[in-house]
Amino acid sequence: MKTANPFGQNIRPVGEVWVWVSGVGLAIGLFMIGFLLAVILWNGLNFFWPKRVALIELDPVGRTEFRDQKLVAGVIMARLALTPENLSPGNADLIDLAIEDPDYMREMQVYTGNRDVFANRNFAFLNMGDIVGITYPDDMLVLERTEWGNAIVRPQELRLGDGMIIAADDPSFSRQLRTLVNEVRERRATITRIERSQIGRLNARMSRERLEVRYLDSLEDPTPAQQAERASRVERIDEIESLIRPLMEQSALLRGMQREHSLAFTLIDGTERVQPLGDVINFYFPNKKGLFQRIGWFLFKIWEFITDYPREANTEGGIFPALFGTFVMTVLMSLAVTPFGVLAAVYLREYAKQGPLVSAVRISINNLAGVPSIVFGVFGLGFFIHEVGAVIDMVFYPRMVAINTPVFGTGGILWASLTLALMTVPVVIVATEEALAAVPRGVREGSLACGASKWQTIQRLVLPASSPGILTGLILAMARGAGEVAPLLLVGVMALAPSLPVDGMFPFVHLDRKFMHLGFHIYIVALQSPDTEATKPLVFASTLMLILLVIVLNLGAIMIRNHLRRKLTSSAF
Amino acid sequence: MKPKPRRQQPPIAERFRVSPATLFADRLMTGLIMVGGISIIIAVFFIFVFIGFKVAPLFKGAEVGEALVLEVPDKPFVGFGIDEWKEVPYFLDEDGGLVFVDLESPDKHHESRGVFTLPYDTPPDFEIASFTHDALRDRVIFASIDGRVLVHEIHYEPTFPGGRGVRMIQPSIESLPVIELGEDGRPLDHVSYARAQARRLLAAVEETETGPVVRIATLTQRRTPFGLGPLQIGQRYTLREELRDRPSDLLVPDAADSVLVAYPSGQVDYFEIDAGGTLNHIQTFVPFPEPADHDKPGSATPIKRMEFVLGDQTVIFFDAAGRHVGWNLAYLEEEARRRYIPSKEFRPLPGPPDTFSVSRRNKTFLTTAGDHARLTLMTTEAVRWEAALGFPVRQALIAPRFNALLFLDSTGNLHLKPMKDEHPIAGFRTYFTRIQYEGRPGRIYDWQSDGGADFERKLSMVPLIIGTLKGTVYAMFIAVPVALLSAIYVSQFLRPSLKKVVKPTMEIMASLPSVILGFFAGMWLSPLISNAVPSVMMSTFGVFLGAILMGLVWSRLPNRIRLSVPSGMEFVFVFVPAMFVAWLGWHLGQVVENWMFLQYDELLEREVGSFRMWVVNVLGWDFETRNALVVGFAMGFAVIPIIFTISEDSMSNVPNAFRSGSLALGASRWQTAIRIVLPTAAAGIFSALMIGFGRAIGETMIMVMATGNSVVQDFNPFTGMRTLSANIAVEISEAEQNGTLYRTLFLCAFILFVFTFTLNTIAEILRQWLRRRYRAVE
Repeated sequence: MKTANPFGQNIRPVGEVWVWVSGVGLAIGLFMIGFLLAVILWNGLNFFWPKRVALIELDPVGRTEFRDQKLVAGVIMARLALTPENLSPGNADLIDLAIEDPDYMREMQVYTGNRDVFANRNFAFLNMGDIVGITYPDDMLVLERTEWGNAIVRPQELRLGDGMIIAADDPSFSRQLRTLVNEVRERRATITRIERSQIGRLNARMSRERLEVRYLDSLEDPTPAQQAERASRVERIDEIESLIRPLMEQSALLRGMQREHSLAFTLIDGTERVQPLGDVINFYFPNKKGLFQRIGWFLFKIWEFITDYPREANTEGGIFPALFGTFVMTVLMSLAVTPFGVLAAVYLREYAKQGPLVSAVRISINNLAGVPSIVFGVFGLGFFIHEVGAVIDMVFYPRMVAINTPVFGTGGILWASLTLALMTVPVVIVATEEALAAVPRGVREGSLACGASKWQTIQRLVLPASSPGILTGLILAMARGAGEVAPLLLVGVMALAPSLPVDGMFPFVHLDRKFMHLGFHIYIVALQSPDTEATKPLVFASTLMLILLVIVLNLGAIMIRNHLRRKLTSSAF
Repeated sequence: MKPKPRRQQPPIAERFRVSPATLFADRLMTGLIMVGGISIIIAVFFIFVFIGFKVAPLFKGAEVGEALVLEVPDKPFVGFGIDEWKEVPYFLDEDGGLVFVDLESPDKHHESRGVFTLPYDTPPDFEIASFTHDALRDRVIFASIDGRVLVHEIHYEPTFPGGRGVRMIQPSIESLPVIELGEDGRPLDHVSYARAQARRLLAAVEETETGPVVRIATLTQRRTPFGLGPLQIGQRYTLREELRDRPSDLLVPDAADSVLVAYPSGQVDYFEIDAGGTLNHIQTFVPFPEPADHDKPGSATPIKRMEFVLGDQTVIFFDAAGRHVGWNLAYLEEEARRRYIPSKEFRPLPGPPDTFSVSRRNKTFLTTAGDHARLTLMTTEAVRWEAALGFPVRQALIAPRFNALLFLDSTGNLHLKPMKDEHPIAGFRTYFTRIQYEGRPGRIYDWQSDGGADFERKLSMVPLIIGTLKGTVYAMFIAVPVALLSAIYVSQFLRPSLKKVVKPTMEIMASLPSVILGFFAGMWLSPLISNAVPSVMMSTFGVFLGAILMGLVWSRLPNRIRLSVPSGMEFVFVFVPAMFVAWLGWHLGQVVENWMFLQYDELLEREVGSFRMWVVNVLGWDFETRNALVVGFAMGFAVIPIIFTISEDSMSNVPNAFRSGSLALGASRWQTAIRIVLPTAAAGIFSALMIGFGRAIGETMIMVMATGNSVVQDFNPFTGMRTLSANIAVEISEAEQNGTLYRTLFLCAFILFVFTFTLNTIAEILRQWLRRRYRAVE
């Protein structure tokens, strides 16, 4: 047979096998990214999706029970394979049973909610061999509550404050409940507003006065002036207290109104309970919802997650303060890193005499980007907090030093931002230098030939031309800074900060405050919450947010870079 | 060079004149940028200096200042002690007499009391035969000629007779009731007393008619409704036949549960009272088996002195030549009991030890021989300070707060030398050498940073460095093949249009926050991998084997089929089979586990296939869920993109002429890649590996979250580790500012900094060298 190939059938390029192997390398690399992103995306989004509540019937003679019942209501979370090494001794025969029915070596993890009644447990683990039926009854109701997480119940009746009772099978039940829950929510918002901003503001003032009084009390022999000051401060504290009192009364009144209406329901084991509506944040009938309702609910939950404050020690609720803290810290960091990074780069590229010394400096700066972030954290702690902060306190807050309550001598958002700025300054310097180098020589020479001074050239031509490159560097620095957690552990991040770093209280930006951070939130909730299994979905959702933040910043940087490249190649002469 | 003559400047026409504002702005900005730029660069390097500056005090010895010479009565004192504030020392004379001296000058608010005494509360018929001074606890123990013992404790208390700020230290003597230790009414010698919480122990040598015996007694104090009852003798023990000879010294440790008896022959007997109250002989040992003077071989050297250091776990034995060794209690697994083992060998003193004093804050001790004084840290055998004082020392003492050394010379002068030693337990040996710690049978590296003053803190950097290397090695083990193979493929074979997508994707992976990887690894990957190690192995190796097989088969196929896959798209076609092989490997792994790794489970009373139990039972290794394998995979995510990006760059930058030339000469694309491109780009690839290594070394969050952070010193893939970076993150919150632990964590950071900075510098220099080389070619 003749073939079109002049080399014939038998001659083949050497090493094609290895081309395939190297292709596998790339495939694995891409698979790893895809896999990671898919796991996070799936689990993160799954957190928001309203899942149906299953009613699971267990084999009456099987071993699995749930609170002495053979009936479990809950959301099916996962089906897990049992491994022999993890079996408890009493369950050894499951291995034999599994030969006939492999379901015996599998477990269903069911989120049962009702933590207040179910001994603080979130999940039931049911042997799948014992499950005889799964149904999705329409009347299952999920209540989101301010305490104890979700309740999964069958509603009985709505007991209104005026003694009226609306039974669950009343057609207007759902509508009535919605109206009441909305009413309660608005009132809760009012209470929060009163307590958080009005009382909170007064409290902040009061605690400042209290600290001053504590200082004055700590003096051994106060001068008359100091005694007078103490008296006036105590008076002011009383004054603030008298301002707070009516507010407290108002919020107590509102809180009382919150308990006016209540919902009676039964749990799956038949126990009847009454839930004051004041503690109900939201409710839904998961098994009644259609697809579009579900999508709407899903989007609503995402919005809620982003804008809500956390509840129950970060294990419920939203991540707003953490997102906000990350944002403020990143902005402060950018404010610090941009001028310094650009200044250093302009010096290195435009002013410094190029030689071995400058290239040594350049190499070192480049290498600083590879120094572990925790080293910067150690530096931030040792230098910013314990040296600079201590000096600031000594000069501006000598009284606070005297009573051992450091203001800047402890971790805070300023020190965290500066530490991260130091960490990311090499990124900005390197990017700016590259951008400056990319500005064609002709541009500079033309400008100088026209009689512009060096600074005029840099200011009017070089910097604008390289601004996209500088921006790229800045965005990369922000992406790195926003996701970095290790140095923050040392310089002032907090699991639950009482207040935001920026608020309506003078001086509006509180540089000395500790703050919450999305990355640290992930770390602390993932590792240190009481039931890490139960908080895992929430952490996945936070992780998704952080990943989105970082990827969006990075994509922005890449797009600017590509755009810049095109623009520069066309404008070169 | 001759200066040029200044030329007369021709006047500049108005329209060419630069406006002063422009000139001013230019000069101002030039100055500003110069100053700013240089200072920023200096500031960046200041990090290094600052951390070094914080670490430096750890490696300093004790600083002992000039002596303050104070006059005290000139008597041949046999012991002395002082209060925490160094104001009122006491002196013990040969007859057991006690005098206090107020060192404060009268102009410090109160009248100096000068030399004064406080009476002992001693019965009239108590005639002293011998006494012992315990300087560590300010105790004097008297023994009478008729077998009775009396313990006096000296206490100090600050009083403020003239209101706040005027402090006067008031000593007092607390005396215990007389205890009849002797049974024959004979004189006692070498009396020793110890007290641990409710337990007390007394021991002394009684000279009976039949020879010396050791009397030991426990003391008890009943708690009654009316307070504590009288101190009574609980259990009595007598050592008579058990003695080898006349005891030359007795020592009772603070735990009050044992007695050490030394003999003139140089032997030491260790007796312990067990939980049942029986006194057992545990061991006999010889601290100096060889004579100090090698000319006289044979017998062991007698013990001149034996003393405990703080914690009473280690005894220091001195011989007459000034040699001293330490023996500490260690729990020996094979004997299932604690006994003394030789642990330290100190540099000999120039002469016989005259005095010995123990710190109350740490495990240092002060010894003198003639006019030579030396402060030694027991744990590391390191000499913190030594000097020739220029006067013969009669008595020496470490001040209770470890802030001064006191020496009493033979002319009635007390030399008070202020001392600054903030980090007595730190030093090169502490961080980098094997140390025999108290309670442990051998010399080890260990990290255990918490504990009180009498607990030896273990601050070795070595296990942390090993942990760091372990994590890094496993990360590189997984990352390097994947990263290099994909770099080769992307730079040499991949279609340019796809390259535009693949590279940014990998770069985004580089910027994934490590806390996400840590969470992913610790919470999601670790249970998955640890429950299915054989499956993971089978899948990973299966994919590579499958690729080789597929490549072999594919290249044997007829060209018509073979060429239907466009060149540079192989990875897409390999993807589906690779996934299939991985899936197959996963299930095959379970089969293998049930077939090869059958282990008998005692709880389930049957054999189950469990790789985990197999590792523990057959290999004898530990197995943790959060282990190095998981860390390796998670760190792969962090390291692969870095190595990939840099090595891909260096391979792409190889001049095209090289490739074209090679291909034109008939080399295949693989031959070109391996023989031409790879060697040319080798330096760049090497630098990529180094930078990847540097990133892996410093990674913190993955390590904190995906390992158990236990200190591990082996390279077992199924246990976790504690790295330098994780150690900082975990411990910094407990470190007191500028304390030893704080500075030690700075040392961890310093090591990390130096390590990564060096690696990156080498890598960067290599890269620049490579760039220059390409430029020459082009």
